[in-house]
Amino acid sequence: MQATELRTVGASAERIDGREKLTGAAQYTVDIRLPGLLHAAILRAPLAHARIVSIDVGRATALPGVAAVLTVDEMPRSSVEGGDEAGGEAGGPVYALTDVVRRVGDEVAAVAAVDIDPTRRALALIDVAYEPLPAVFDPEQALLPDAPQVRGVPNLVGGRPLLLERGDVRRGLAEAVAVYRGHYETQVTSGSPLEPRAVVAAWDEDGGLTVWKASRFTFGDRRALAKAFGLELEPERVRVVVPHVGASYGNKDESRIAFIAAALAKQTGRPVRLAYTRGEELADGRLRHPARIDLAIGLRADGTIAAIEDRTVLNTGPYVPGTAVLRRSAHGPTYLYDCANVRFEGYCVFTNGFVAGSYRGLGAPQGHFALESLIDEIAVARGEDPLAFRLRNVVKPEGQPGERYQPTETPVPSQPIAGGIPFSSSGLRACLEEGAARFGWQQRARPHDRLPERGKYRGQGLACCIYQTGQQPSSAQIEVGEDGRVVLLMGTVDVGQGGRTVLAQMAAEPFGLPAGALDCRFADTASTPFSSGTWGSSTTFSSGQAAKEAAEDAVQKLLECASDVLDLPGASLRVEDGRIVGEGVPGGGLSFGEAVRRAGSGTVEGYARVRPGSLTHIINSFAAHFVEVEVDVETGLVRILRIVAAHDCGRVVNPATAAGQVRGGVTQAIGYALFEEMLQHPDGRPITDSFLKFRVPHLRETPPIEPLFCGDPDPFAPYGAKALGEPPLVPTAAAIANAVYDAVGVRIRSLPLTPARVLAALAAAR
Amino acid sequence: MGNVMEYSLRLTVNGAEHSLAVPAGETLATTLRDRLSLTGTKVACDRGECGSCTVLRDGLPLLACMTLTVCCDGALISTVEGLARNGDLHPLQAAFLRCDALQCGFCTPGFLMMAAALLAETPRPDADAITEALEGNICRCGAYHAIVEAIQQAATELEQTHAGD
Repeated sequence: MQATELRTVGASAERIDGREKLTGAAQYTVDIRLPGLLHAAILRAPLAHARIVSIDVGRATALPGVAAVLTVDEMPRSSVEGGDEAGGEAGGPVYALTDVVRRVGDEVAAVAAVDIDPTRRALALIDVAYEPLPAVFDPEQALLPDAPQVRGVPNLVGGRPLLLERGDVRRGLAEAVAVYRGHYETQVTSGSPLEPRAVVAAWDEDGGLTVWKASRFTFGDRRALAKAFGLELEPERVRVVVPHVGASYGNKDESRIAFIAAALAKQTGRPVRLAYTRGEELADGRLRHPARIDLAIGLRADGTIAAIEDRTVLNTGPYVPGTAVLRRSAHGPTYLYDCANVRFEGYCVFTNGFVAGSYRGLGAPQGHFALESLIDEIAVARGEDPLAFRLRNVVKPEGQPGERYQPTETPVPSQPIAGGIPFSSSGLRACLEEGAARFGWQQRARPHDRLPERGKYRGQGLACCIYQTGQQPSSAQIEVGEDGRVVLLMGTVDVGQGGRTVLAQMAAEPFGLPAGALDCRFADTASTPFSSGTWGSSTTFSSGQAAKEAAEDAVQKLLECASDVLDLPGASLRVEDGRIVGEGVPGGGLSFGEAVRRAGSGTVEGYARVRPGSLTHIINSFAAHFVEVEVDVETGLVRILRIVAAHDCGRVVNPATAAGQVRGGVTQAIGYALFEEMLQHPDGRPITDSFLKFRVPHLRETPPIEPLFCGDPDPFAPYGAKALGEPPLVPTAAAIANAVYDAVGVRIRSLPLTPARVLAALAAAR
Repeated sequence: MGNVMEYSLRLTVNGAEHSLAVPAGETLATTLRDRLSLTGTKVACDRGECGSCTVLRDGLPLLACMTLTVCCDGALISTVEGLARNGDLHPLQAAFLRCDALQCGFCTPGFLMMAAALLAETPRPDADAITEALEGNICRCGAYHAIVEAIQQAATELEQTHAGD
């Protein structure tokens, strides 16, 4: 399809659910009202590591209004891990309620009552006797042989480090005329969507279960629930519906709450709602892995990169093994710069700390913070402009040096380690060049010779990134009825990012219709076809491919109907502006409804099931962020003045929602870079359990953010559209740290860049 | 249970009068959401730290999660459900839609009500006035600048409408 022919794709369509959300009509999970609804809450453990000796629920059960109190004994013996993409490589099964406590906040018991007040009173009446066990919070200590075992197996997830290698890093480092090293540390943060995790569960008289849940993966939840409640052979008797989601950011992957609500509903015979408080969403949600990264980069005399060596340790807490997060943290260090010799050694470690899980960007913000900080340092040390250094050294469109050794009959993974594989498209250079031009990048190469004593100093910094375009199975169904309405059915979840609107645009395009003309139904396992979860920046690319192909299939069938009823050759017919037109078609064309009616077939259906990808090319997205900061050397406060965020996401399907994705990701990255940090007491009790203690950016802290789109349509992507969901959060923290260096001459290698850290770095440098 | 003291009171919500009997400890957010089924008002932190539950009482913004319903006897309450009239979006809602000033939408009712209060008090707010008014509202999706743009567009439109009155 030619670019000039596109009308709906590429235009800023209004959000198709915007009106509902703006009038208060949009239903989120906690808005669902059912007769007889019970309110549930969870009793959480006060210790970081303990065995439960006894639980007495007698007083809680006797409280008026209480309908059920559950402990581990009443829960299905079905592990809550392994049902999601995280995989099941951990140490043994994990139950939704537990008798082994592995962190402060672990789920010990659950109560359902007629209202939330008796529910909370009942929680306080449950008597639990704990036998404390030694706990470990530091991931390096957890790796020592005599460390307490968090999961009954050694704390290194998978039993050995993740090794990713290309070429010979030892030889590369030996070749280098200079080797630069840095140690970097990043903190725990929370995605903290405004809507806390919530679920409503109801069993019907026939033993079927319906679950409404703020989920990112309906079909995964269905599979896990069916397995837990003995419906594995009839999973269709479990229906999972996702109402509007008050955002996920890749983060709403908690399956315990659905298990607990469904078990309480089964026990009581009444529908049950379980919703987290803000404190639970922060302390018991799924958090960003903190990282410790040792990075070494060897340079040749000509200023090219001879070797990159990375050792990364991620603290994953006691659950959700997080190997996908670890792998993603390697993407930048192993693939952003042209380099024949790279080695990544990654450790994902169980501790009794916060539960880390998936959150927008997985490990990429951590990995890129280290990489792009050290690259900047190298450029300055060489006396070379950091932009020029990057333009010379970033990976070229033809890919990394080396030989492809992955099989050629299966799609190229979105994050390979081997060289010799070209990119399907690369706007990385364009992001750097056009971003710099828009920002007004001032060439610089001077190391700081003077540390200022007082006042405010301005500086500029940049950083770039590489990120996967998510290749996930998805499917779409289109129905065109006798009334001519086009109905789009998709199992994928709009988590607030605008997936509904973008997919409606991609499905509407072949019909020559605007997105708003389609009836769309999403994320209901009873009525929409399978989709993988909303994660890994896959929706536009993967579900978009399904939407496009299903629409093209339906259009083809409509044309066949029209060819029959008009007795015209199919080749002479086409669809334009929602009608069938062509030589010999009477009047202004045939409406879809008329074609379906006259064909007498009832409904015309289009369908597509896809597993998108390329056998020959890597499909990746790229970005470069440019930041201007002002640093007050007396208070240590870093203020961001403006950001230009240049992105290659291929063709932009919806410029308005794409700009929103970029501004939103960058805003979260600003919080990550400057002040967001989840903290615990030394015994593991959470400190930051409210928005007062866990500050996220408000309007006041959000500078002008200018999105810039620099990509060309990708030949392997639907309408040329690649991923955009996660990349906006990836390079920003490094760009900010580099700007702080430019302003005041200190490198800060730990996030967040708090005033205390800035002052300490200045003091140490003087 | 059963022996909880209830207080009778009257509320006018979006123009509709209600006679209610509520326990002393019930918040306005709970009354709106659970008794009156007005679930557009969102509770995101339940302790006054995010602004999502903002509604108007007698034209002034307040946090419904931090307000006891018994303190609202006789009050006129406005919620997001009352902004649109006869299916026509309020100029603020229309501007939010046009400017794509929302993503997940969970904070949106709170921003809309805070903006409505601001424009009632300050018909042409400058950027500083908007920043100050929205200081207590969190949008984790980061739609802040589109929200500011939408409020400015709505202000212009409302002023023109009033000039034509």
